[in-house]
Amino acid sequence: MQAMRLFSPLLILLITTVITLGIAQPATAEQVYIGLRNGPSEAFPVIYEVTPYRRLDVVARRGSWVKATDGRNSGWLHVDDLHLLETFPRDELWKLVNDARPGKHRLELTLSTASAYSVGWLFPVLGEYGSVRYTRAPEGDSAWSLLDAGVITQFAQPADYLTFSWNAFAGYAQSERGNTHWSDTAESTWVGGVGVEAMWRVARYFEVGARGEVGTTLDSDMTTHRSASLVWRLRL
Amino acid sequence: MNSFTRVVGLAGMTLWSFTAAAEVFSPGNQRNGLDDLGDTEVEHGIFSVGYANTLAYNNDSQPGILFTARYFAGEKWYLLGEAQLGQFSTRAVINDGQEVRSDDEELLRYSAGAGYALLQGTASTSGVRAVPWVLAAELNAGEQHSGDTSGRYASLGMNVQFHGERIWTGIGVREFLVDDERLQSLESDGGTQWDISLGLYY
Repeated sequence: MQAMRLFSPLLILLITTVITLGIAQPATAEQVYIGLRNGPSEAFPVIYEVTPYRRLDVVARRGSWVKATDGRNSGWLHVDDLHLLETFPRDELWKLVNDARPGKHRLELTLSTASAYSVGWLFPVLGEYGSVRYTRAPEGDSAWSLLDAGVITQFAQPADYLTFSWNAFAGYAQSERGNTHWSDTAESTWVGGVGVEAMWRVARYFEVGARGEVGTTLDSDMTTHRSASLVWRLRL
Repeated sequence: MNSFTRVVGLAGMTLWSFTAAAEVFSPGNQRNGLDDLGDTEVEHGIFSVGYANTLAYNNDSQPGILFTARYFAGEKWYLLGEAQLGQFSTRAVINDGQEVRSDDEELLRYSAGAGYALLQGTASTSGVRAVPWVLAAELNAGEQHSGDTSGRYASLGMNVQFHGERIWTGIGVREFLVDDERLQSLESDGGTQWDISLGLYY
């Protein structure tokens, strides 16, 4: 019994020491390196590594990537990684990150089943998007063109990269070579319409999608055309 | 005298209060120093000029000059705008006694589209200098005028690009289709084209 009293603290001390030695890891200092790539994409290989305390200057920006140099070597890194450089000035960092954000204006190109293509400009107005488009169907004798203005309103965004919107437009359609696409009398006429679109943001500045539209002449004939379009949209 | 002193005193206090008010409500402009930061050079895209060789079905190989603008839309995507000028035909085609293609037709094409970088890597011959290269798929659509007729143009091709420090080089090959009725009747409404271009960043 006495022996137990004597050995108990020693036994506890022994067990505690063993557990401590088993759990404790040797302290090691891990050096962090920041990789500079050969080009402005993660697909390009890392060609140069620097520590966070290396002084680098940014000499160029392409999209959300910047080209940094220490005077001898240079490489590309994403603006979101610039904060890892401890010596990089915070005001310059803020400016670069801000400049790399896409703006609110959009440039749009479409190809439609109505044998037409269109070029458009989208701009923010009253919390929605306004649009100005020029559409042209260049096909031989049935060529026509349409200049319209409209509004685009987003009604759903199931994911960050996916949006659904509807649009309404009104414009002036011009018949070329006397075609009767919009008017039986082959005259120029006013046109109005509505549509719905789904856009997928495939890159930081680029969206692709599809749009369905119904357009009708704003005259007594009410000539109507339906079309589906592929849409490419650049975020400027 | 007393009233005069009071008037002068009140006027003085009023003037002083205006001065004081001016001091309160005219703060100096606050500066965060961001305006002093120099703008970083931004590479929006590439302008290039090159030689294009077009081989349409049932036609001879024809040279042309190709102007291209590329706009970087992301890490892998870019937008394209192209204009091609050149020869379309140097040999006349007579059908039922009627000339359907003359021997001096010229070609004008303008199109727009997009490119997607399928592969990206590093090219180096010396092991010292490394140049980023890109293999991209390009889709184009637009309009082609040849002779007196025109039609919609569509192409799908591949482009190998070397993104040098200052100079950009691109070599492309594509298949194209044109829905020009006259060219369809000549069975010359499509073909293959290759081009080599040099460009600068803008």
